[in-house]
Amino acid sequence: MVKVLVVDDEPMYRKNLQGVIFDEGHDVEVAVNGDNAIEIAERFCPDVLIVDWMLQNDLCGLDVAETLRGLNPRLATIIITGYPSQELRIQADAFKVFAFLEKPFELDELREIVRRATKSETR
Amino acid sequence: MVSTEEPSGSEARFAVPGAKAKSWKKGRPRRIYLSVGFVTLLIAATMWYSLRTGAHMTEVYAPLVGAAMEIKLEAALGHLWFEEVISGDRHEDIATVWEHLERSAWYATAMLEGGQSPESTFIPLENPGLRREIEEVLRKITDFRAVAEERFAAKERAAIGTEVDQRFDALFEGFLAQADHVETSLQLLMASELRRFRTVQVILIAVCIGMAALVAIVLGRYDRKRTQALLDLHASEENLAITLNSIGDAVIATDTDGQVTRMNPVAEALTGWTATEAVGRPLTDVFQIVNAQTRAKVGNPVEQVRSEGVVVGLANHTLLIARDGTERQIADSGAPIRGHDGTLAGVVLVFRDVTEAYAKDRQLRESEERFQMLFEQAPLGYHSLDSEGRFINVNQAWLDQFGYARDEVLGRWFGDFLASEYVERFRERFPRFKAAGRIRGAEFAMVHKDGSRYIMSIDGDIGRDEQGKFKQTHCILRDITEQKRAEEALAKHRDHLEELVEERSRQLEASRAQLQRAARLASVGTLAAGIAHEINNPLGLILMSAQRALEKNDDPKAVETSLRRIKDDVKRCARIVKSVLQFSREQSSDKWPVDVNQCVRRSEEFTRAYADRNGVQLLFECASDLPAVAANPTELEQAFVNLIHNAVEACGDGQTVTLRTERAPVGVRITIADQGRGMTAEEREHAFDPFYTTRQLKGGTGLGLSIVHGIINEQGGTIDIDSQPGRGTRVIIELPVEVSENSKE
Repeated sequence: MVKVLVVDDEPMYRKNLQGVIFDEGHDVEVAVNGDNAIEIAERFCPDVLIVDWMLQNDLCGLDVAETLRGLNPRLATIIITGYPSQELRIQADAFKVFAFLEKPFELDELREIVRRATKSETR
Repeated sequence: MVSTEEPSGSEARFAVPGAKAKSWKKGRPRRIYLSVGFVTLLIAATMWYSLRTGAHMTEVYAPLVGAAMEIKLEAALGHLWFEEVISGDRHEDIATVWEHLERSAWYATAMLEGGQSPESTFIPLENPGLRREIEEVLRKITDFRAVAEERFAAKERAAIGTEVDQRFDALFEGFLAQADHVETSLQLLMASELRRFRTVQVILIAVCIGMAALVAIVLGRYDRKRTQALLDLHASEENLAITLNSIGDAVIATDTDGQVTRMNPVAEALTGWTATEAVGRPLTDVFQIVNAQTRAKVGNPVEQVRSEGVVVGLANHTLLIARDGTERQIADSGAPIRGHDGTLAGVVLVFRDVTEAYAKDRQLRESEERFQMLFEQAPLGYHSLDSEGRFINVNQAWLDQFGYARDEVLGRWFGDFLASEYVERFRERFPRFKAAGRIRGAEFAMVHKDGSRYIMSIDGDIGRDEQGKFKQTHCILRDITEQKRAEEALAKHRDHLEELVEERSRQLEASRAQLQRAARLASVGTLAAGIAHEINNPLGLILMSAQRALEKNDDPKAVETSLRRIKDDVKRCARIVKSVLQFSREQSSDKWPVDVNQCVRRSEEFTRAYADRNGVQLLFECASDLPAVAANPTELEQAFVNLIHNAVEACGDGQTVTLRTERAPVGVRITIADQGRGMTAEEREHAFDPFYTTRQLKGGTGLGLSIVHGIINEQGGTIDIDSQPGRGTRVIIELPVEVSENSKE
């Protein structure tokens, strides 16, 4: 069973994403911000991280991803953003995120990415 | 005080004045003695002449007169006796007659030839006329005797009245007449002689008186001159004394034996002897001198002068020991005093106290040495030029600077040490420097012995002699080569910098245009990013909800939930678009005088319900005496509403938001204070940035405070936030009272 952690400060996103991933048959947990995400990850040890770029407080999505990669180097990170600037893309490439998902996105698109991520994880 | 006597007193004390006193004695006395002798001789001669002439007249004329009378008497007696004889008187004889006649003739002859009678001595007459008269008388006597003899012979026959008798009588008459004539002539001659004698005597007396008068005048003048000379001598003597006493130097005069004859008050002061005590004493008693260094007695200067006979300067370092033992450094000289005939009459010593001068001299010498040391060791070059510009002096620093030895420099022309292009400048400027007496910062390139060039800055002044004429220059040289190089480099650098600046300015000008364009793009970009983020979020949710509804179309409840969410998110998008439009509006709204309190009350109406819903209490504290401010009331209300909303949201249940209006120094102050969670420094810093929000979860767009900020700025006011986390937030707005030009009543 693949463990997926969803981090978003928007409650509706959390709720929807949790439902979608759960329906895919994965073990899923949600966090409201970066600190919360790190807290959960320490005990949950996710294989896939779905994180919004822009979070409240100081930590952004990449910060969270970097910390969690420290816990699990094989972590697959999926970044979601409403404002996909060029700078952001470059940073994400440099970080070698697994996928870069722009809002608004199709749920199938998300499912496909998560599927690929979990496949690579199980392999 | 004036005396005709020799001024023996002063003469004895000081030998010199004698020379003048003797000079006037020389010629005059001889002349005076000569004239007195001459007058005496003249008087003697006159007297002798008078005596001699008187005697001569007595001796010559008295016997002659007697003789003339005797001639007549004897002849008359002869004639008388002859008449008697003729008349026959017996008592008488003819011999007696002849005797009388002969006697008469003898007297006549005696008058001519001289002779000696018992009574008188006759001196021969010299007057030729008278002699002829007497010879005539003698002839007549002879003739008369001849006739008398003839008549006596014819005595019987010759009676009275005869021819012989008549001849006889006639002859006698003739004889008498001639004798009378002689007598008369003699008397006339005597009178004439007497007159001449008197005349001569008168003349001689007059001459004597004249000569006497002359001698008297000469003597008088002589006396006056002598008196004057004595007065002069005395004055000169006094003058000399005063002069001597006034001389600043000490003066002691001695005679040839070395005994003090005279000394002045300065000498008295220095020796400690008074003149009265010192005069007559040996000089060595009064004037004790020793060598200042060896303390050996110095020889008697009088001896030295006397033996050498010339002026002698006494040795330096002579110490005079005064009577009371005081020692003084003196400078002195001795000179011989010579009489008018050149013989040594004494010695005069002149000396002065140079103790102080010696001390000063020593100080001066020390000062000179110090100066010399400073001069030589000075870090700056120094040189001194004469009027032609030739070196008189240079110091070591100068020589070190240019690599020369002193003897290679002194006497040479300054221009020889200049770089060739500066030689003319020096030639032209040097006279100006001499005239002005001062020069500052003159720059010359000078050449080192090894050929290297140095730029020197020269400060100079000139030294003058006692007449104020140019004597020499005093110049200090400063090596400014490095400074010059640095200045040149700096100038070059500056030029380069200026070029750079110009270039940069051009570039900046170009980039400013770019920047303006970029800034415009950036602000659009920022806004776009915000819009993208704010809109994409709800759009994402809408899309997600729609998909979920489609996927779960078998569950009507789930579909309905999804559709409601879609509705909410669409509204949210619409709200964001509206705010963006408001934020980006281009034209400012109109303004007019507004009662701030009224705006506050209206905003209360819009926010009261919201506050109640959140359990927050709203308090309004409005001052009553507020002036109107220039503003757009709708915009102002919107600002207040936004701020009250923010405050309420920050507060927890039961907390209070207070809105206060009051007068401010320049207008009206509105303060909105809450008791909420407060803001961090970072939040405060970004509070007015568009799309910066801490309430994303509650639907905050991040544009509220940005819009408030824009509105307040538009009204000409200011807005500040005073807040700390946990201690609430105060937003302070100040609006000006001034009514702007485009305001409406």
